[in-house]
Amino acid sequence: MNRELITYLKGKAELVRAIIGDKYGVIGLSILAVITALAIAAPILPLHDPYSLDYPRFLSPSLEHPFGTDHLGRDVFSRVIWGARTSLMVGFIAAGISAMVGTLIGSIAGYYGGLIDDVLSRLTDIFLMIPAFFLMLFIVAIYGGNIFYVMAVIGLLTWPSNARIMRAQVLSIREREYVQAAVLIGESNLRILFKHVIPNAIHPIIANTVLQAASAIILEAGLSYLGLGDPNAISWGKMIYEGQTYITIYWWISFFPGLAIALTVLALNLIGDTLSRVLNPRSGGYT
Amino acid sequence: MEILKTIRLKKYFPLSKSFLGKGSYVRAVDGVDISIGKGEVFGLVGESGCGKTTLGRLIVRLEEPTEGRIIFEGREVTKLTGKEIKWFRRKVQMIFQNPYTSFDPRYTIFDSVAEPLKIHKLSSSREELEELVIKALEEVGLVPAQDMLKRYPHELSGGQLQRASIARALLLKPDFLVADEPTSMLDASLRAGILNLLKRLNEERGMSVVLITHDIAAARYITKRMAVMYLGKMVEIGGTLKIIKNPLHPYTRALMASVLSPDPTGPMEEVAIKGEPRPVLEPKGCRFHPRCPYAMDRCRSEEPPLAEVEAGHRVACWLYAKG
Amino acid sequence: MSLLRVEDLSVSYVTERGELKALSEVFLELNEGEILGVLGESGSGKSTLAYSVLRMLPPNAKVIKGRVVFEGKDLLRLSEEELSKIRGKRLTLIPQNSMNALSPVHKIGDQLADVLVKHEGLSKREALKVVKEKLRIAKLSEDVTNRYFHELSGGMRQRVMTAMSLLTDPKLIIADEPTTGLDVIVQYQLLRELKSLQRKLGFSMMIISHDVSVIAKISGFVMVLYGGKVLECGDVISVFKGPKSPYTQLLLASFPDISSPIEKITEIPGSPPDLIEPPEGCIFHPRCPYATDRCRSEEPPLVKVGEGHYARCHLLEGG
Repeated sequence: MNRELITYLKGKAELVRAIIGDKYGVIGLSILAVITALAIAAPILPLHDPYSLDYPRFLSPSLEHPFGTDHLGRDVFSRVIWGARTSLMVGFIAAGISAMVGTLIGSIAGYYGGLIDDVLSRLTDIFLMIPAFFLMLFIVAIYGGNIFYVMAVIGLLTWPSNARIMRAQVLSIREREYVQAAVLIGESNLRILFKHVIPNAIHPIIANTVLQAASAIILEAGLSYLGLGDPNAISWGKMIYEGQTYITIYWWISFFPGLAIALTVLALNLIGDTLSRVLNPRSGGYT
Repeated sequence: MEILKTIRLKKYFPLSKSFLGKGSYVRAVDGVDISIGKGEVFGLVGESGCGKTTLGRLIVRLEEPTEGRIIFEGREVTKLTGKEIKWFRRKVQMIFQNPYTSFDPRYTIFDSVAEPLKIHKLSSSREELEELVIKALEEVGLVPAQDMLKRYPHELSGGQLQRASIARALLLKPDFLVADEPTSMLDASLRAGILNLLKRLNEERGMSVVLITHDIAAARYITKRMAVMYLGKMVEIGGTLKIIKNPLHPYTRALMASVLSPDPTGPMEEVAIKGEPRPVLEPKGCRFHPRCPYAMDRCRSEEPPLAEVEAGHRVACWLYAKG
Repeated sequence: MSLLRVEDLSVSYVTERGELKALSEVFLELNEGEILGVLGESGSGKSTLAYSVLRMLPPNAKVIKGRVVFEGKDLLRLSEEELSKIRGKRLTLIPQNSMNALSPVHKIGDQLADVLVKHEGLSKREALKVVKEKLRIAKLSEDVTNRYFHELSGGMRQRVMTAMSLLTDPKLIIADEPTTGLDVIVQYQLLRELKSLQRKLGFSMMIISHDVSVIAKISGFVMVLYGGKVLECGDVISVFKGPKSPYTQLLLASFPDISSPIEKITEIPGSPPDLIEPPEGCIFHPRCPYATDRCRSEEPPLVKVGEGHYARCHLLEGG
């Protein structure tokens, strides 16, 4: 196991190096790094209490309140930073669930073929047909907008694209001689799948996951904007929704959370694009 | 003594999938009877599409036969289950045409070559594994072997990778090795090395080798007997030198006449053959008749069986049928 | 005047690791009606040579020095406009690996006719007439004009590319590995057809190949390239029957002749040289069984070893 871990980490290091080599990748990575750092550090940063209603309402941006205060007297700046925690968490967990489910289903379908493939592919098609957003509205309306439901639902509705990608990849990797060699020496199918096939096939999924994180963030923001998100969480989408009545006068209430979404999604898209460029021509390796 | 036998072996690949009714098939291997002896170097020769690679894959059980039987060391191996698989995999191995994709790029040469030992639990300690791998690498001429262990596939040349493939296949001490076009992707100057290695391994270990190739000269160099295939069927089988010197089947004649030699003198005669090979979907008669300059009526309606023309030399052609 | 003369040609590629010296001081001369076979393994520079003549090198290639004189004009120094009057017209190419050489969505006839319409100013109808004639010469039936490239077998595709190279009645055709990847019988037939075509139409040819037998059967003259250098050249019978460079000898010995008795085929130990940091002295010395100290330090010059036969090896001097 040790050996595989070293290979794995070496691969990650090269990956990061490759992204840094691309100028768009650098921009994306920097923005994301800043946002992530702020989100993680939020509890220890010298911020105003994001829930406190004690500040004067509708203050325009100033040194004391860099993003102003909202209609309830809350400091927008600290709310934007705390909101980052929500958004990033939703983005990555939802995309992570989607990646895991999609990878599993796609690779099993592609590797075993036959009836299993037929069944799983039809399942994928069915899920593809479901309009994710509307189903989410439906589920949230019934079960409430708990943030964990939202993440799970997004993850469980967006996996088909990963499954499709993975299946196509596996179909070609399956024919590679090193996979045939593994069969020849008597490796079990499951071992081959997880040791040789999935690791060499997973590259487009990495890029796709980053892009899916971006769309998960937008989906969640959209939900919150419609007032259906988690009422307890600080969400950028909800902030935009709450500030929209005042947008012509007290513009900062909606503007800054909106800007935050835009920057985060931009950063993720830049990284995702760079990843697909960098990982594309490699058929199973980073060199 | 016979080590492998196939009986009316067939492999059909469906061309179109249809739930209702039968689709059409590519008859990649269409009824092949072959017998290979222990310690023999056997050539499987033919052009692309003849089915030699598919036959090789059927023999090593990488493909399931559509019909027919395979008997290895007296045991029926047409359908393998559980423990039988493990036993079979230790006895029969294969090396592939493309050395560059024969190894998982994410693992070192040591990891990949040691894998068979790990799976069959043939070694307990890391040191022992290393020792066995080093010995295997040295045996195939990859020296200094110690250096090779931590290298990755992309650091090795095609010739080195092919040797490493052989090393990996040999670790389980197989009795039977199928080499599928092992030199066709290598430079000419490297071919001899691989062929010489296979020859030596056969002589030293008594391991049967099946060389699948379109390179007649390579077949002549290391095989004693060979079979010529055309569109899924065996058309001629016998001693290698005999077939090359005196090919009987019209296709074999055309094939041998087309082999180029590095001799700049001498004219290039016309080869007696018509048209191009086209996989026949609804075969009737001899597969070769559309291209055969000697085709008779019988050839168009009846398929000739492989019949013995002289001792150990069989041909599937009505020109030689007695009666 | 010779048809093609390459003088002192050196070409390098700019790579991350440094300058890769693909060709070093290559000389060759080809007259009308002659066939030159350029024999070399991968990395020998044979493709670079062909594409230098055609001026179709990739962007990271640099011509360090030398001239490529075709019909009296140095192709390397012509303007794009002047070059376009020669390349594709008087000098054509049969490319390697023609499996996807033509567009799959246009008819073959249209694509070939296009060449004549655009470059020779013919009308579509006149062009198609010429196309049909050339297809016929290449042993293809006229109705190939109405078919699509992917419908054809490998051998037929190669014949289409041959026909295409003949459209403008060129003086020199460069064929890059024309039979590589084709089946045994098709390869033989194609080679034979190419040979008879050349005899009938009289064009000159430069054939690039790694296959000793292909070069042997079709060339009149042969040039053996290794590591970007000419190690031996001359009349094909002299070179193949009496090779003087150890590399040529070893290379020939690794191609067994099925008509002669079985000898042990040799392998050339080692691997092709690193052209970014090539070895000192003779480029072949690391793999040469006869290498001496002199070979390791001094590069041998090309010396005459017979009538029209030259080789590069220290062991040849003094007889």
